[in-house]
Amino acid sequence: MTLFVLRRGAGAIATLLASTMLVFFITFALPGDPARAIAGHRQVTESTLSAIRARYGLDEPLWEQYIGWLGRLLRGDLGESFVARRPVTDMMQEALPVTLTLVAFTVVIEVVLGLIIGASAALRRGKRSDNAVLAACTIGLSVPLFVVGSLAQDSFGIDLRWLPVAGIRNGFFSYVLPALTLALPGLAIAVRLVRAESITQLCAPHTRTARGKGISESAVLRRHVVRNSSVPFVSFVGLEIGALVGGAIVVERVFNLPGVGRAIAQAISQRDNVTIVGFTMAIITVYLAVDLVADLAMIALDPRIERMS
Amino acid sequence: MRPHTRPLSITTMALWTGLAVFAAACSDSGSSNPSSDSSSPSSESPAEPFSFSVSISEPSSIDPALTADIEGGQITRLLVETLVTLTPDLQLAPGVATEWSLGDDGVTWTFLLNPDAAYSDGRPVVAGDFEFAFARSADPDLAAVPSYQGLPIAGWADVLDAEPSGSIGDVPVSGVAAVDDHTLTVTTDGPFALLPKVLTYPIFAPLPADFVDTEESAAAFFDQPIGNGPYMMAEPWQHNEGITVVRNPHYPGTPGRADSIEFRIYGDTLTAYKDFEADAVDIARTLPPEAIAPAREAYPDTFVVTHAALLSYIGFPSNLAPFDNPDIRLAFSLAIDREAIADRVFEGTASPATGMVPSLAPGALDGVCDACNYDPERAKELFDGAGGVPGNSIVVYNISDDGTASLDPILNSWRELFGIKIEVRSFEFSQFLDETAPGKPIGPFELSWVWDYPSGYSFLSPLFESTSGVNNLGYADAEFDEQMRLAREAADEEAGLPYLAEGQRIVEAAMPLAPVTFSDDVGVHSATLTNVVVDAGALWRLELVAPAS
Repeated sequence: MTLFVLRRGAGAIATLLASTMLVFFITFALPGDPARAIAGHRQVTESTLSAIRARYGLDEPLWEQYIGWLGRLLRGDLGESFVARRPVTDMMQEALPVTLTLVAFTVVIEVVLGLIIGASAALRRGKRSDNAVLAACTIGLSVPLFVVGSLAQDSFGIDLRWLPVAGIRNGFFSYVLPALTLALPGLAIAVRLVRAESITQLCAPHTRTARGKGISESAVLRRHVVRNSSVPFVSFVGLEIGALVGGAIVVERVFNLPGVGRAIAQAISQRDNVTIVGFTMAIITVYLAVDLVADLAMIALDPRIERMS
Repeated sequence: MRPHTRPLSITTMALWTGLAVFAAACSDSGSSNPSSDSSSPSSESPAEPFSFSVSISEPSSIDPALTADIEGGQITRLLVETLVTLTPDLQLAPGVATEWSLGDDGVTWTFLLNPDAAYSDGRPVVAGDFEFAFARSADPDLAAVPSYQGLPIAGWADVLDAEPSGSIGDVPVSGVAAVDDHTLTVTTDGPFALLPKVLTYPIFAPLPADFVDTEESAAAFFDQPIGNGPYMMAEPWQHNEGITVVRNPHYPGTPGRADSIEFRIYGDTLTAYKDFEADAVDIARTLPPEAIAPAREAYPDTFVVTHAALLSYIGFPSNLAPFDNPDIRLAFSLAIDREAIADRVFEGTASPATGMVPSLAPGALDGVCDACNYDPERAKELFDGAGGVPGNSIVVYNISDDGTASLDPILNSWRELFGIKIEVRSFEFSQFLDETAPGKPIGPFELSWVWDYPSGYSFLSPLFESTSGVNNLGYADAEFDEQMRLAREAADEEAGLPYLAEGQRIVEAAMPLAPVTFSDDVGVHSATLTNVVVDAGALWRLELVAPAS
C-alpha cells in the first residue's frame, strides 16, 4: 500500500510539473503583448508599457520567466496578478473555499440522491417509475447548465423568493441553487451508473449463491450488491469532482459566486497570464489529489485492484 | 422594498410541476427568505439613517493613481477630491482649490487650497501632499496605466521616462510646487487651457507620503485607500464581493446624502439585474442587452438611460491606397446604416454616431458630418467615381473578443453595395492593438475611443493630431494640427471651443475614420430611491441619491 501511494504520489508530481509547463508556455506564448492588454485602449506611453513589462518580468525570455515562476512556486509564491496587482495566492485563498464548498455540496447531492434513486430504479427495473427516472436522466444530461441556473433563479429566487439569486452573503442558502444546478448532469450519470451496476450485481452468480445459502435479502444487498457496485461509482465520483470544478465556471458566473471558476474566466478575458497559470495549477492539484484518494478508496473496497496494478 | 406583485411565470409553473419532488425535498431549508434581510431604505423617513446598494463589477483598482476604468472611478471619485471637480453637467467646480488662475506667462497655474480640506482621519490636506501624489502617479515604479494624463505638466515626462529606482514617489515632478501649505502652482510645458479639466482625474488627488511609504502601508492602502472625498472606506475591499463606503465626517463640502453606500460586485450584468429583480440590490447600473426591453417594461419610472462618451468607429489607413483618396473613405462611411446597427446589434445600448465627437462634449458640433448619414446611392457614386479599390478586395481587422456581430452589418453593406471581396482578419484584443499600431494596418479596422476628460479635445487631439502617439489612421493635416495648437493655447477652455469646432469640421470633411455609434448605458433603480443622477461622463453621482418620500 505504501509503495502504491509513493508511486502514485511521484506520478502526480510529475503530471503536475508537466501540465504547469504546458499551461505556462501556451498562455505566455499567445500572440499579443500582455502589457498592451493591461493598458487597453488608453493613450499609454511606451515608457509605461516597458515599466509594466519590467514589473512583471515580461521582458525576459519565456523559459527564464518559467524558471523564475517555478522558483517562486517552491517558496509558495504564485506571482502577482497583472490586472488586480495582488498576489495570486491571496486571490486563491478567497476563491478556493467558495468553489470547494460548492463542489462538496454538489458531490453530496450527487452521491446521496444518485445511490438512492439509482438503487431504487434497479429494484423496480422495467416498471413505470424506472422509465420515468431514465427519462429524467436524459433531460438532466441534455439541458445546458446556464439554462437550468437561469430558470432556477427566475423561479425560486425572483418569483417564489425562497432562495437568494446571487452572491454568498446568505451563507448556506447561497449554495443551494448553485449546487442543485451543478449537480444535475452528474446526478443523471450517477443514477444510470448505480442502476446499471446494481442490476448486474443483482443477477451476478455470487449474489445468487448468497441467496441460495439463505442469507437475508438486506444482507445480500449490503454485502454483495452495494459493495461491489460501489467500485465504479467511487471512480466516477473521483472523475466527477474534477469535472465539477470545470462546470463551476458556468455556475459561478450565473450565481455570482466569487470562486475559482469565475476567477479563471475573468483572468482569461483579461489576459492575466499569471492568474490563469496559478489557478489552473490549483485545479490540476485538486484533480490529482482527488484521483489519488479515489484510487485508495477503490483498493479498500476491492483489494484485487492493488495486486493488479 | 418594492411590493411584489409579479404573477408566477410560465417557466416557474412548468418547473414547479416538473420538479415537484425536488421542491418538496428543498422546502424545509428554503422556507424562509434569506435574501429579505438586505437593507432597504423604504421604511425609513429621510431623517433616519439612509443607505443603499449598487451593482458594480470588480474594479481593477481603487487606488486613485491606478484607477483606469469606470468601475474604479465610480468608487475613487467618492473617496478623493481633486483640486478642481466636475458638476453633473461636467462644468468645472471648486474642489480642494477654492480659486485658480493662470499667470501672465500663460503656463503657470496657481491654486488656492481650502484650509478646511481634510482626510478622513482628520489630518489637513496641504499643498505638499499634491507634490507627493503627482510624483507617485508619474513614477515608473508604480507603472500606472493612467499616468500619461499628466504629460502636459512640465517635468512629468522626465519622471515617467526615467529608469525605475525601486522606490515610489521619490522623484519630484518639476512643474509642481507647494508655495506654502495652502498655495500650489502647476506649470505646463506649453500653454494648455484644458489643464483644470485634466486635473479632475483621480490620479491628481492629494495623498500624504506616509500612507504608502512602507510595503505594509502600501498594501493596506491598496485595499482601503484613505482620501479627502465625501465618503471613506468602511472596511477593506472584499474582493469579488463588495465595497462599502460611509460618509467622511471631515469632508468640508456638501456631505453625501446616504450614510453608507454598498457596492455589490457581480461578475455578470445579467446576474446583477436578476438580483435587482429579487430586491437584493437597489441599483443595477449596467443592463445587458437582453434585459433592456423587460426592464423598460417592468420599471418604466426608474429606468435610466445614460450617454457615455465612447465612440465606436471604423478607422481607415488614410495614407495608403485606396484609402488615401477621401472619396473612398466618404463612400465607405456613407454605406454604413448606423441606425440599424444601433437598433439591431446594440438593442438600445448605443446611438447612431453623428460625428467624431459625442454631442455631449462641450462645443461639439452636430449635423456637420455629412458622411455620417446612410446614403447608399451617393456612396456608390463616390466609390465608382474614385475607380473602386485595387483587385476589388480589401482587408478588414476585427477584434475577435466579441465575434463579428457589430462588424457584420457594415461588411455586408460594403460587399453588396460595392461588390467587393473582404478578407476579415480577427485578432484577440492585445494582438489586435499590435496589428493596428500606427503605420501597420493595411485596411479598415474597428476600434473605439473614450475621452479622458470631458472635452472634444480629448477626442480630436489623440485620434487625429499628427504628433499623437496613438494616431493609427496615418492622418496628418497641418491645418487641423494648427487648430489643436490654438485650442491648447487659448486663454481658457471656452475661448478654445471655436478651434475645436473648426478641427472637427476639418476631420469630418476628410473622414480618416467612420464614426459608427456612441455607446449608451442603461440602468434601473428601486422606487425607494430618488435623485438618481448619472453625469454625462457615465458616472453615477451616488452622493446625491436620496430616499423617495
